[in-house]
Amino acid sequence: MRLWRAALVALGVVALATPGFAAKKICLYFDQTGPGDLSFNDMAILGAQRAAQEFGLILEMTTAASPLEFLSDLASLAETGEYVLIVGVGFLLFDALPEAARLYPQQKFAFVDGPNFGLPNVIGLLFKEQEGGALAGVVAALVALAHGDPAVGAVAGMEIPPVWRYEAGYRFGAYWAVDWYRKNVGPAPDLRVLVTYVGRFDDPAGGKVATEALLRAGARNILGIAGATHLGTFDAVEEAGRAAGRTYGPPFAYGADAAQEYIKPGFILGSARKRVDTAVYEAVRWALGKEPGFNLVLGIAQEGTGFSTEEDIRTFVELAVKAGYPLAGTPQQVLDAILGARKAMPEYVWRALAEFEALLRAGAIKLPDADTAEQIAEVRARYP
Amino acid sequence: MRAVLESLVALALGVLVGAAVMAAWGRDPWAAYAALFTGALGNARALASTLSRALPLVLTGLTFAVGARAGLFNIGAQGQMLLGAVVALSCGLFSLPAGLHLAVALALAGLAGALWALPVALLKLGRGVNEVISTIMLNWIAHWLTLYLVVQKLSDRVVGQRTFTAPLGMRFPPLYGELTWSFLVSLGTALFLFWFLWYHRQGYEVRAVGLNPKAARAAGISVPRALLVALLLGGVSAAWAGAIQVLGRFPYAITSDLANLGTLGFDGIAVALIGRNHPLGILGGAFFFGVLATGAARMGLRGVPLEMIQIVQGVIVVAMAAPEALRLLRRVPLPIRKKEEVAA
Repeated sequence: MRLWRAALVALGVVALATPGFAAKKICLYFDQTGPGDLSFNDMAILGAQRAAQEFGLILEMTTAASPLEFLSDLASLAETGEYVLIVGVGFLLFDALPEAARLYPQQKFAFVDGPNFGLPNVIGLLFKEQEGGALAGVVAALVALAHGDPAVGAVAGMEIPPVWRYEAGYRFGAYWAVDWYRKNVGPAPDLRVLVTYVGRFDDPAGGKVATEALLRAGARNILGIAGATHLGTFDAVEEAGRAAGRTYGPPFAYGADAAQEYIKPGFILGSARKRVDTAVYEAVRWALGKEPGFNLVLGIAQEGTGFSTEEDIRTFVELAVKAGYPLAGTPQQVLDAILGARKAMPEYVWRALAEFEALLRAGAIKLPDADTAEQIAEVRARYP
Repeated sequence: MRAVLESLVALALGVLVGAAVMAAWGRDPWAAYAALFTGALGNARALASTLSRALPLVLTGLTFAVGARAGLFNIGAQGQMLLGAVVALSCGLFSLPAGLHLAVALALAGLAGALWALPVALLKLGRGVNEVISTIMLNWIAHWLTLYLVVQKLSDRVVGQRTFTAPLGMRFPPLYGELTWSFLVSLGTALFLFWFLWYHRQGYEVRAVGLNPKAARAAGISVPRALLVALLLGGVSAAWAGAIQVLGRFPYAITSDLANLGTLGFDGIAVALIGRNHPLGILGGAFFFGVLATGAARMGLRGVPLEMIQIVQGVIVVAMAAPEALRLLRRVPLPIRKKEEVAA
């Protein structure tokens, strides 16, 4: 095994040193924020790292200086001809990525959060964000009902389809949970779903202000669907909880994409998962093959979406330790705090979650579409 | 000649400080600068990107320069630019024959820019309100107005992060890569203002007022008229910067955080300072800015962190702008300076 690896490395060195034999590389290109959001972008990196290691590729990454650069950046990356695959990370590349793909038909692209535009050299990586959002909505609503809150909340990034889909699912899940509560637990008031769009994915300060306003409005269960912006949501929720003398919520925040509980143990009850890492890994595999581009849609059936499990939480605590993230205590203390908060919630919350997930997997629940402004407007009117 | 020499010394200083910053963080500065240079000018496509970045900056630079020539500190380009962009795009709500549509959009955008500059002139001439104050306030009004229109009224039905795209008949035809025929607007405006300021009586009056308003008045020049002309021309120029950014550059729309309009208006101040407030110097200053912006993005592709690129970019721009900025500060009789002199 070790000998094999040494041979591979030697081969790599020879390959690098041989002119005309370019080392194979992949490049992640971020539309905003870049590495360090502990969410969407970092999940893409995770998947790319795994692929790079497994397929013996070199991973490079870079972030757009501004939207003005999208097209010229992608074009100059493609022009080098050095990359097996260029991964555009983020929906904001919606105009530039297909344009670059048409200019450079020999270059393969992956588009995280966007479609493949029917282009043979593009793989679209899409998710059923509604599913993770709905699961988080079920938990948030039931925890809110258990504590007599009048509302649940969400802090969103920009008004774009992937965020709309999260929001639509969240609203649906919250309403489903209120019905479930009435059937299985007892009478319940109507819950309102308050969603604030901050307008950016890289504005934690803005996310914090938005969260404080939601807390004042009585929403003490808040889903973050805003990338680095909702890191501010975590801060605000923990601060409010500590100010009330609590070591765990409510108030609770809910993370997105990654299992983010470790960031504020005890105050983040769960996360709406979206396996960007799986999608990017699959995209690299596609790029190494001969298949033409298509849309890869990941949902709960492919384990591409979901609500963070105990195992997810453990995995991400380990990842955080490896990455040198400053945890609030030893890994075991962090885990205890996270799982302790979950155990402190009424048992029926988790029963309802399991029931909803089973219905979802069986295809017995149809979640609302939210791919256009009209559709999300309809969802908002239906589940206010 | 002395100005060119000064700029070269400033550039060298800026580049050296930038290199020191990069070296301090363990990066190879010369490799990074090489990446910057080839990234901005390395091939025809890169050059086209660089030029397309420079074009709107020429126009906002001219706004500041015309004001400065009249002795004004006009920082209203940002708001006028935003308004020009949104008015130009809004013309896509009605349809006209191709070409004519573009001309009408440009005309209306220019008109909007001039109208937005008008209160600045009226407040200054009527009530003695300093243009720095009024332009800052009008910039914010324009910012929020534009944001409202972009997000609430012009947003695309499917792609929520930007407005609808400008109809084909309203766009500048593509030339090469990211460059479109919009360069004619920037070049034309710069040449016109050069002619106007140096070869036209009215332009001469503007400059005379800037050099010494009292002497100009004594010589029978109407100071209010000169200031009004400088502000209105500046307004039109800035609005066209926004217009060509939307009608002459991919993706032919405004992003819902206004990021593709960015700080074109404010960057124009730096461009004007680098170009010594001279229309032809500004062509050079804007090109230099375009090189930095495009090259910096390519540095990013070579693994230099974005934050460090911005530091290096900032250091170089400050160094280049410093000589003219110091000269302005020495010349403009700011009240603060007067007090200092009294104290001394």
